[in-house]
Amino acid sequence: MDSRPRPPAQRGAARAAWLFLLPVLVGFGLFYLYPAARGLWWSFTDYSLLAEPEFTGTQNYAELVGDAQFWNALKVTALYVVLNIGSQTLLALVLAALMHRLTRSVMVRAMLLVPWLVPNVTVGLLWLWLLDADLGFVNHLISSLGGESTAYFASPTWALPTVALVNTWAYTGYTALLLYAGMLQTPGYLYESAAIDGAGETRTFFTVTLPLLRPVLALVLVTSMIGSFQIFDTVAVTTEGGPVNVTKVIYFYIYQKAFHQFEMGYAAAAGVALVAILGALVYVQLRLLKASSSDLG
Amino acid sequence: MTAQDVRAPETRGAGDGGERAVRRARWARGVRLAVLAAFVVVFLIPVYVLLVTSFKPLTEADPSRAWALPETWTFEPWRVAWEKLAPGIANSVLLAVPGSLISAVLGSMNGYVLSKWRFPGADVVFTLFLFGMFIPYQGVMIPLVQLLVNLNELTGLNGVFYGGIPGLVLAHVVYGIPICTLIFRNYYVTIPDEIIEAARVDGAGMLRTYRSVVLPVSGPAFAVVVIWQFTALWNDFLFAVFLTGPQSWPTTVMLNNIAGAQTVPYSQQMAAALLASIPTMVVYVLLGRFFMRGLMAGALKG
Repeated sequence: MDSRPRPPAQRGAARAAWLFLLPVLVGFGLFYLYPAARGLWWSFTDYSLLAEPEFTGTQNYAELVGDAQFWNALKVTALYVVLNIGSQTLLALVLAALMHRLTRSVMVRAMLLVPWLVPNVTVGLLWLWLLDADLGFVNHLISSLGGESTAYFASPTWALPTVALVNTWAYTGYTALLLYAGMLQTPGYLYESAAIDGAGETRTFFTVTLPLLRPVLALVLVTSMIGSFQIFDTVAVTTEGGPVNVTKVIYFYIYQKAFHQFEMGYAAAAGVALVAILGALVYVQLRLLKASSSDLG
Repeated sequence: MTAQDVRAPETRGAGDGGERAVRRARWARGVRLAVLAAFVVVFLIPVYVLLVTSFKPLTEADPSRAWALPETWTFEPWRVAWEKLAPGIANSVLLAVPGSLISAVLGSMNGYVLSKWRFPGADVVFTLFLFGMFIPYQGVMIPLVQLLVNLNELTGLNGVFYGGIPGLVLAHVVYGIPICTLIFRNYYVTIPDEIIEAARVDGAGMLRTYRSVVLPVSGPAFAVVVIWQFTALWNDFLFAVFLTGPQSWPTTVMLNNIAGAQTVPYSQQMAAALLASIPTMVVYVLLGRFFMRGLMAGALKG
């Protein structure tokens, strides 16, 4: 802390400021930092709810490395994130560009937010019903077009992509709004000069809109990826990790380890490992973000 | 800018060719508008189907007519859904209303101190909060459960911290601090320093300046944070599954349990799913225009 002598009034002000922050700092420390530290400690123990935690060194981590279920959960989560973030970002980008160049309609924006506003449980139930093999509207459409009715959430091939696309449906509107807000920051004169230069809409998008959107796009990617990694609700509602573990994402795996098998220490280790992996990913992404700061300067 | 920009625009006012270009541009615009409209319609079909199904009697539960309006409208599914979901909705109100208000007040206080009353150590605190925004909950959830269990034992208040609404409110408030603080801070940065300085010269202390200068202009930021937190708390499933028990299940968990019972007909499930979504919609309709403003002014520039 700064130790330079200050006039008493200013020192009083600093004290008042700390007092203002006190409730939050206490809450943050007690319910955020302390559990985080405790979780880290447990990851080095055999804690199981039944007995007091006993230090076992890096045994949990050694077991994790050899745990096929853990690797499966990581693989499933990674695949989910790629499918979800990929489709969602692409769709949102197109949608945002269309809105940006065509309409300022508040109505359109409001409607796009609807799937994001409703609880994920509602989204899960809705699609569970729409994709029902016998009673589902989507399957009815497919079979009336000559296709085959499929139980998408129960199919080992389709379950994971289906969960990913359901969440794409839920989050595309919100992501599009964020990107749209970013596009509004692009000065209008750039579009005027692009038009004067005879650039078409597609060309303008790739030479003006996209390069200037890069910082916002990177930020949106980082935050939506962190969110996507924490997928839990939709899986818990629709597939519960099945069929045969093809949708058992990392969070669901940790949840079951902790609350069905009561292996708290092991579950904590899995949590810590995931935080480390995510931290590394975010770090790389943020580095890329810095490297690609806006061309506008 | 290069010399190219100076050249005369080729396509404008050059007789016949220019007119054709304008017509083509107009046509292209029409196509793009149609694409956008089609997208919005397809995007919202599931919501529409959900809505009409919830008003259909069991006899009309036919997928080939899912898109059609009900032949006979019935409110029976909604009545049953309300009966089953009411305790969860009561819990969710007790969770989301105090939770979002407390979050907003704390966020406002933090944002003010961190943006307008700079003090040694402010940057450290701010960095800590920012860091908090990026930490995933996986590493914290299990010890958090244990901590709340310990608090139950320590205080003798069974089912208050763990398995109760107060514990869930606490968790949401704490984990929402970073984003709430950030929104307020980014909003307060736009208040000119001169105004704060003038109040200080007039002898107003920190608290007085906050109350009579900063707070009166904080409306939009409060709206953004309340929408954000209310939606997050109402829709939350993860924290609720980890931290609550049957007595304190909020709407989302109860909804999932109702739907999990195979015997419940789809029309009732859909009515329940809609019922659970109404409050966030209402908040958004009432305060929505602030949301877009806040989104642009605050969240992105962080």
